Amino acid sequence: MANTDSNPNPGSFPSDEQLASYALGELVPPQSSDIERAIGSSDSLRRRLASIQSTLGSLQSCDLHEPPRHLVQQALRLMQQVERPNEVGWLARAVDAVATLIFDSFTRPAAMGLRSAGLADVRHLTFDSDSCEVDVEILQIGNGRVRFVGQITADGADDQAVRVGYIGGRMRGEANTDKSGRFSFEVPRGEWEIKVQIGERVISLPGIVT
Amino acid sequence: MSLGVIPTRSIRCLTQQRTERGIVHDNSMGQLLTDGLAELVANAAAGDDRAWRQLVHRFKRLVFSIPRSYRLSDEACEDVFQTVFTTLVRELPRISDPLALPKWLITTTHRVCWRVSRSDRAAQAAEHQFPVYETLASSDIERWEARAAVDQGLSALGGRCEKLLRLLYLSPTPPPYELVAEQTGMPVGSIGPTRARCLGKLAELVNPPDR
Repeated sequence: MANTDSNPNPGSFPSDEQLASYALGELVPPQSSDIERAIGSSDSLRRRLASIQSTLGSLQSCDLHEPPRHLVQQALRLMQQVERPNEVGWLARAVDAVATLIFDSFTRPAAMGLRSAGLADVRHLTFDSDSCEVDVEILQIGNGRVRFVGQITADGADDQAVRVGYIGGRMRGEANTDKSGRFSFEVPRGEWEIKVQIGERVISLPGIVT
Repeated sequence: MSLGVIPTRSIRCLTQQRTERGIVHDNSMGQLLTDGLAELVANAAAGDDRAWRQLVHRFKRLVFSIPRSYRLSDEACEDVFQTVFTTLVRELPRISDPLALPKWLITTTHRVCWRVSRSDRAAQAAEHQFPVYETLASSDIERWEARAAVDQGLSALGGRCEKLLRLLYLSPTPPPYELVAEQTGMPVGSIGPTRARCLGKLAELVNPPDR
């Protein structure tokens, strides 16, 4: 078959719907022969038809069953019922220091216990403690979620392990940090406490409501 | 039915083994299957209930259908389902390669089926019970992955298209067009063209064109 593509705009004719009708065997001449002619002169249409045929084949053999509702409900409740091992145990440790908020792009002058004004998509916060400074940006990413992006600057941090964790309700986790102390994590909107561990010292940031 | 502790291999190990054997597919169907999965697993591991709910809804049909394929009893199918998700919620913090979760689920569900099939008297007594072997062929894993990808493509389609295609292709017995029309609220004469249009959309999701 000639390796030409005389149909530079496969969206015009035949459409995906027409190709699907052809794949389903629903077309008769002259529609089917028109499509065969178009396919014969277009590599992209041949690939598109193959994709539709493959999807149809997968669909026809896709014998997945809906589980009973009560079973799904039981599975949904597992998060509350199952005691999972605490992988971020250091978050439960007593803190050595509480950082102070020194800048908030939403509220000036800054105060402990922040409240979001909800007027912009990005909020910038800076915290300071005796041993480190933490810059945090909070981005509203839609669907009820926020992304925290930040960086920890600390004297001698290059020689010590730096960890960042977050706690909100039952949810707690540890963010990835790079060698420069940058971190990011995504969580649902709500009230979050961020903790930073530098070496053996644990520093807590005041609670943030997003 | 008590199943005891299930030996689970780490998800990273499973991926590495399959990579070494050269059977990992980086196709668009696989992409659909793992789309957004890393974030979902990370959030669920951190205790995010909403992420967990999405994980359950995303894989519930896959996990339930594997024991059904072996024609285990209803009770055994439910035990398998519950055991797999209980194992998953416990293992979440240890998942190092979240993109391998579908393979892990398929393999783990199969293993639980194997255990259950040995003790499920109803299944053993069934005339048409399918044998469950201890190991699972790579082609079987790929087949289940393909089914899961189509299932997720249907969920992504949503609306009337999802309802129509599930009715036409995933019902235990294909319903007559009159019943499909009644359940989807569309005229019988629209079912054919709508099916073609929905199939085209599904193909676009499952196998996106290189445009």
